[in-house]
Amino acid sequence: MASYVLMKILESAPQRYERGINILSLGQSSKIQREIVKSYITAGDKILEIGCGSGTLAISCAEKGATVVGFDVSPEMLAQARRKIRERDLSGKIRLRQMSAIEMDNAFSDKGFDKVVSTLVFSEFYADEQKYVLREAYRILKPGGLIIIADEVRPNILWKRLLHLLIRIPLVVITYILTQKSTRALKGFSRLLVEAGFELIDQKRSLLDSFGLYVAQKPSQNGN
Amino acid sequence: MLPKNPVKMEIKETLRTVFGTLFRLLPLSVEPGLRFFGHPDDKSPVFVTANFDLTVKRVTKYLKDLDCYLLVAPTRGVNVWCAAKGGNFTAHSLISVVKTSGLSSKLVNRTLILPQLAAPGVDTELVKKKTGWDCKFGPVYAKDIPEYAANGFKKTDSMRRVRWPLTDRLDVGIGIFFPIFLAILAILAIFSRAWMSEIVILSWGLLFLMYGFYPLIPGKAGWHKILFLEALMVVSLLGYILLDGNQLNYIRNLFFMAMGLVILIGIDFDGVTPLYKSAFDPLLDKIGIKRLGPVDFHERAKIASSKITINQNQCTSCGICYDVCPRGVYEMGKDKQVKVVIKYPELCEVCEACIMQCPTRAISLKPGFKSKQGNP
Repeated sequence: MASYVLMKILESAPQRYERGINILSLGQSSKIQREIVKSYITAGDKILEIGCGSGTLAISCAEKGATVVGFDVSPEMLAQARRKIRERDLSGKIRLRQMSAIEMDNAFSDKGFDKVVSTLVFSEFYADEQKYVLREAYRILKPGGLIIIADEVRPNILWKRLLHLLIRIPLVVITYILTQKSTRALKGFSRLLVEAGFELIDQKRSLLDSFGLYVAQKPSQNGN
Repeated sequence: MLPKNPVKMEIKETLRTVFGTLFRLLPLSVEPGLRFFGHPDDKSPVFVTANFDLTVKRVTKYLKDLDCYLLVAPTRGVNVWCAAKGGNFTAHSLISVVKTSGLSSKLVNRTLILPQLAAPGVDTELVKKKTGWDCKFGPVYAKDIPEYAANGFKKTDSMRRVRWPLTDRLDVGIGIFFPIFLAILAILAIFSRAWMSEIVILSWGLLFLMYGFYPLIPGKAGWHKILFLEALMVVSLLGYILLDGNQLNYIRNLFFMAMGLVILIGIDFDGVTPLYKSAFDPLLDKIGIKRLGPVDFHERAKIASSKITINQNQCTSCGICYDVCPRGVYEMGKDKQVKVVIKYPELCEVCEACIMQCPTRAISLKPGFKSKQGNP
């Protein structure tokens, strides 16, 4: 029971989440979200956001003219998102649902979305879960639709990996204390996308090779 | 899976075991998912466990000679009981791993055998509804699984009970005390290196004595035992002062250090056992710390002092409360009026397993009296 108390003391609070995540990503998280909206989102898009958290990315997409369905497992996070959406008067453009990614098979019909976006979510999934979510994303995307994922990745080169590790260990501790989330940098993620049937169309890495953006497409011909 | 160097793997796993043992309070996760032992077929049993490193290793040790599946559920790297009580081992952990592991397509017999101590956390009806799988509760301890399987998956009463044998006591004692020990060392290193060796010897000596001889120390619950030890030391110190004037300061300081260490080693001496509820929450509540961040000690103390009660009209005699109780509080009734009896209420540690599992919600908590210290 003592361990339970300790863990609960460290437990997350939504208002601290954004800050914690930005620390972990050394400020990359908001930068990459801006880039996603700028380069890949167009007005009229129908977007699904997996793990919308407190709604920052969903709001940016909606402000550019897209309609967004976002879901997150945390009700506290969604309450935060709802407040922000109300303040910006975007309730007509964004629909939120409280559910876990594992419920995607019953929640959305086939080929209903133009784009699937998700930032700093996949690194919280375990390996089988990542595969399941990619399968589901493939199913719900229209043929030709895009999946855009940004997350921590493991640097390819050894010295960068070591440097990354040195910076990351204290950050992981801080993030764990602030948000009680433990994440693992993605490894071989482009292979997973290809295995799920996507065609990789863009892949960028930034900041010591440790933060990655993946853009992949569901083929438009045999999209079933 | 990529082929890996077996020696390197072994070193890594040994280091993880050591780390997990010394820092028991930190989560240490392994990859959730489906594992195989022996040559399982489509009728082989499916056991479930938490994804805490040490837990998976222990379960593996007892499953490796059976033909079976092991489903490692995502519990954030926390052990079964703590995860079940702390909201990390829930129906959702199971739904997630059943759906993503590809288990469903492999088997005809759709029953998950859960560790009994998962009962406070897992809503088995929800698992059934979302995945189609039934749940049943196996033994508390993985070491009973081979016998359980040989018995046709029937549990004996002793398989239902938590125990507190020497190995577990030392294991848990070291895990709880090690971080405190490191903190003491750090403080000593800064302020007073002179006492370093005495403190190290006293710490580990007392740790092994206190946890080793736990059942022999007078006092029915943990904190009674601590009080006894403190009183014993005060009496011995007084005796020493009266009888012998030489070397007084050194020996007296040793006594004071030992008295401090006994409290640190015995911190939550109830809560670390599987036998008693933690005396931590009522204590904090009492001294005025009602809550700390998201932890509401007042609420937790209230639950700890509550008593279970059964509504006989709602009871269907299904026996699940009897099955999941780790302390043997229940006895099945003999007639139609009294279906199940709370025979040994003083043993209850309010783990709420029976409340979670009762299919008709016939069991509930009623507020207890303002109990003295939250002990039975």
